Amino acid sequence: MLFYSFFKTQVGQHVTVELKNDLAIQGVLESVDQFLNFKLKDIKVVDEERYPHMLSVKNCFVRGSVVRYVQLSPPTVDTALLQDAARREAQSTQQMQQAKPNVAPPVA
Amino acid sequence: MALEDNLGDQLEDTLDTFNDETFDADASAIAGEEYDFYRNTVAHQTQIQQQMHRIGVPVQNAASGEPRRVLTLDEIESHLVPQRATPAPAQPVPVSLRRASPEVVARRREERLQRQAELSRYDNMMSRHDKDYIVRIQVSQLLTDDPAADDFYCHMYQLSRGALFGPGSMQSQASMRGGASPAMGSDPSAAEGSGRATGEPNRPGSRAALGSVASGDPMRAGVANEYRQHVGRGQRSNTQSSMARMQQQVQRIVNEARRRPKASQLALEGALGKISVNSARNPKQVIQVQRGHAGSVSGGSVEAKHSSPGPPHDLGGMFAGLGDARNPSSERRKTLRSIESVYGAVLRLEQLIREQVRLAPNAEHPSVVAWIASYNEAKERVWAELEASQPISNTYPHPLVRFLSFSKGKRIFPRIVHHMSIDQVLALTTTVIANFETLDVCRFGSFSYAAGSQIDVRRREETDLFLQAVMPPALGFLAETSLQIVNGLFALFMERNNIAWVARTRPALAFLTMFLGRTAALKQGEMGAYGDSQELYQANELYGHLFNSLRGSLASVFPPLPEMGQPVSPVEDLHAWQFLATLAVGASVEQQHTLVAEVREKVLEKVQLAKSGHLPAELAAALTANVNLFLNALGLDASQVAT
Repeated sequence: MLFYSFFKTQVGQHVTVELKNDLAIQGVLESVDQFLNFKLKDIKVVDEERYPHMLSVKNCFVRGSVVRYVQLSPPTVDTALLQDAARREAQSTQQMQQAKPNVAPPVA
Repeated sequence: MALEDNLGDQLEDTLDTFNDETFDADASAIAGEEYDFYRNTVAHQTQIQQQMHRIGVPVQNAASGEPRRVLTLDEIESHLVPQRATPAPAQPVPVSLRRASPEVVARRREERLQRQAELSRYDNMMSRHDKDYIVRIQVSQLLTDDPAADDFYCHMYQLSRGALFGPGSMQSQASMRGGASPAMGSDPSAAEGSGRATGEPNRPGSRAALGSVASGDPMRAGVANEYRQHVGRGQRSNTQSSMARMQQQVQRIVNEARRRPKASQLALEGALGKISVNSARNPKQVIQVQRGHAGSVSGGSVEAKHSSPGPPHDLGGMFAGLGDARNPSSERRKTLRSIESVYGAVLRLEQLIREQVRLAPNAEHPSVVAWIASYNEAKERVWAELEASQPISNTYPHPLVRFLSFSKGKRIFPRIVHHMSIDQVLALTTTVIANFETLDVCRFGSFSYAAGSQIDVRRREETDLFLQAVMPPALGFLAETSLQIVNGLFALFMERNNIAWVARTRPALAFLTMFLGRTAALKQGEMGAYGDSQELYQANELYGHLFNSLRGSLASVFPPLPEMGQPVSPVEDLHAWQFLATLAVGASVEQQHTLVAEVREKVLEKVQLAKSGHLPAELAAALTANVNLFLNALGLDASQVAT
């Protein structure tokens, strides 16, 4: 849930989402969900000539699995806090791995 | 409908005004505008029919379409108007005129309403119950048992940015990390802050909000806040009732999920294997990481301890040229491991501090006892890793020094100090001073300007980081203690380190400045208290010793000059001038003479540079101010210097 938490803090910021099909979209991040799907508003395609079909599109929904990169602006990221959050996440995953997996009761 | 009418072919060129608004415009002109092309289609369909009539071609009824026969009369009427006005529309009517005429406006409104009606014909297929069901499934995926842990980054970030409007962000960060912040988790008041940043389109009563915004528990309060902020007055009652319904739903789902925790793996009896149930908590791993290395690393270092001393290797770059009895790469890894365990312990400490507010006030309550136990245990952990209780250790370099040779070690230092007692801070400072020479920042030697090689840049960054992170706690401690301790540490500093060599580094100068400054302040502040006590005598002794060891090399205190063409920054030698100033304050007359003699050239050079006029005004002023620090301590001033 680290990335989800992180992107929640980016809501309202200008980001550039680069997709796996090389389309790069700049816009304001409107919302994000647990699968890291993005909703962007006031978008502008970075390389306009190649994607004329996007000219009139204002808002879009991007499925999380097609995103390659998300470009952010550095001042909006608190790196020390991010390190702490990552360490906590690592600790908790370690704990989860060490705990035995639950065995479901047999279906009656 | 409109795609198959081939209107373009049927119209004469003069009547083809379909793309007039957008034709021949470039991308930037038309992007962002809303165009209603359908209107043109409808308009021209009737025109074509009329044209056909005139020519005598049988009109295709399919083109006009059944449901629009009602409007056709109006359309024809409204078309007769522009037709009368513009008999041959050779020049396309400007867009603004078209929009202005009331018949057109009315016609468009009717079309829009009609289109809406068609689209809404199949609305309300799902009942409220159905929608609730779907939302419940979606929300149950989002739920967490421990929203505090899962949403850590977001929560803390908002706390720190929210507090930005009060005191500075550094303070608020420190307070948020270690101090009393509101209880996290399902506390709706704490989620006030989270509401600000969770954005969402403002569609009142929209169920879509739940699916795409924020996580389980803080969400409901967060979204509630969003709505309160954005939605207008008229719709408030509507949204609030739907919000209340959503909250009830979420509450129900939360309780249900808590009652029956879902397993991440399913293994039925009699089955030959396990099925892992993927959810957002445990997503499918794309990269499989082996967890076997942990054991092998510690095993390796244990073996190396008993082996004979190997050839001197490079100890992770920081201690180049220094050999160590043990395998150097495992040393490095061991240090990194201990840094990580310290980080883990400090994070636990900070979490405990945050939970402290929620503890029962009764001191004998078992939860309080447990809290105290875990708090002390974490502190012990940190202290053990630092090994500061033995300032002089058998291993070279000292574990604390190795700890601080990594930038993340430096970064966590102030956070550690925050939790330590005074004695522990004293021990830490003593250790740092006793092993000062071996610190990586000192071994870098003299300063170098940031321009140039990668190594220089990194050294500079490390030194800066050291000065920002490690020095302030130590200096702060020194500023608060008695003269006896200051003397002791001063003596230790001079005893253990080669002053002349170490004095070229900024951290050493900072320490020396603090020692001298504190001594002077104490002497002045409590005039009677010390008198001719032991401490005062010792302080003077130390001063003399310092002076003697530095005599002859005072000029080397300054950083080397930059190359020609590079900007001269007054920040570079500020610390040097400060040190000289504090040195001058305690100097006797002949000592002052020596001082001036040695530093004379530097002073002249700086003053000349400032007065030469090559530099911008602020830079020159800053340079002069720096020199004045020193000169004023002697009773002189920069303006008195004869150039």
